Amino acid sequence: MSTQFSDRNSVIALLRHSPLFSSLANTVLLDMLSHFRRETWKHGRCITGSENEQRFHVILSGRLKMGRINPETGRIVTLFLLGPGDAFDVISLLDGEPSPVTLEAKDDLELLSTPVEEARRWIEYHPEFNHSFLPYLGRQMHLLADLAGDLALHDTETRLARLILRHIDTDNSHHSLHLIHDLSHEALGEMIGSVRVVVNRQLQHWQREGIIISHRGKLVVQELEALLKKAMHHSHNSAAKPSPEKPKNRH
Amino acid sequence: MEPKSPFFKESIQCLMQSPLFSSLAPSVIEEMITHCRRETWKRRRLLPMNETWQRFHILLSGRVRLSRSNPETGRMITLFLLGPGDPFCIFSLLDGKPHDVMLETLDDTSLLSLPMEEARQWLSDHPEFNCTLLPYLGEQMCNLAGLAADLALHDTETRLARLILRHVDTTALQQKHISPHLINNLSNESLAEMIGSVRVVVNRQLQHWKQEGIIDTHRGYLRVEKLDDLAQLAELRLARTAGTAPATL
Repeated sequence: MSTQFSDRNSVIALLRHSPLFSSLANTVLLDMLSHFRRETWKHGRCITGSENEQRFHVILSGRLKMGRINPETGRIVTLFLLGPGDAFDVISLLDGEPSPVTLEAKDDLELLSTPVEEARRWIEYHPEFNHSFLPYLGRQMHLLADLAGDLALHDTETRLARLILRHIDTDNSHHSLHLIHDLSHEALGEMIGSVRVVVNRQLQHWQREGIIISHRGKLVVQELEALLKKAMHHSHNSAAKPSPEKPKNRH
Repeated sequence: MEPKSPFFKESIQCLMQSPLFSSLAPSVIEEMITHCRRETWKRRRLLPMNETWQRFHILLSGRVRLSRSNPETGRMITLFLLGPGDPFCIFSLLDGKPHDVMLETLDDTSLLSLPMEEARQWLSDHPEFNCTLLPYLGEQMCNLAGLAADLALHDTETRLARLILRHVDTTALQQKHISPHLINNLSNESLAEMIGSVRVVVNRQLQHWKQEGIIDTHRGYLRVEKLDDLAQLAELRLARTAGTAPATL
């Protein structure tokens, strides 16, 4: 199977940037590639839980949205926005149950994939993988805790500010955003359990205040301090209410 | 803890029953316990994570919850409710950092603890532990993902129904009165903190279900009387075969 990796070196170079694989020896990575095949997914491809074959994927390039859907209302919440170097679906890799997620390619994606069973055997055989896998799991769990905490405790304005702050590129001085810079307002809404119109209204408001600018569909933070304040401050005149609390009239 | 300690045997027994540790050889468990010290914490003890993250804990008895709070509003959300055999804090074990969570004991608890560094060393010395640790982490992550998704996508009634169902022992589905595990004597306020709601809302909802005969409360203990009705309210299908988890949770 490894013969298909004509550009094996470039794949290894990409894996070197991944928090999951960067610390592994070349021989281990080569062994890994012999178990994985290369895949490409077109931008916009959607896969729901039941269609999702039991395969484990590593993203080489592009972004993938992993969410859950409420089939009754059609609403989606994004649990993870994954980028190059990330892997999915980690939860079903761990517990062996197919998880009820929907996947959507936010760009053209280049992936490596292998059957979940095979990935599990590979992990068992390479305990050194744990040194990067466990911290990675810690980070993913932390992201979920952030999402759940924000949804339960903060209003939409605060959640949006926190979402943006979590994605600020710390490498450069002009506060551009990592992964979420060009997402639609609908996609941003799905990341904070809100909807397009609310995000739209909030971003316009911040733009008028000079806190952010949106240039050709790309979001850049202008006033970091002001945004930090929004992320801490739970104003009462915010754009929307917190998570849905209205009881259903079923009876 | 010395093997001579009166608590040594009790600790071994507890870990043998924990899904996380039960598959380890008894000698491995014994060796681990010798690295631990036993602690007891009183009920309603609150500990910020920065006081506890440097030690790894395993609950022997009682319950502990890990929460986040909004200091401005005083609201809380429970991320994990842990019982005997559960370890904490998994976050710090995984990435070696303190995390923004608050610990609170719900009962008088006894626990084992050892320095986080030793726990991490123990983990890398015993790769066989992965076989149970990874599925355990998967389950915890799945619960957390479920909490986040419920908060974003479902109303309070559905969330409360799902919370109760998540704590129903799936091997006991045939029983007439089902007592949910871990949560069955929590206050309505604590239940509310598990679904991002408030006491009055949970109170009203439980009263309503009680009138409909879906649940019953007896001396503060919650019992499910009509499981299928509750599943319908939770918008879930139940996997009836013994031992299988409701796949749609």
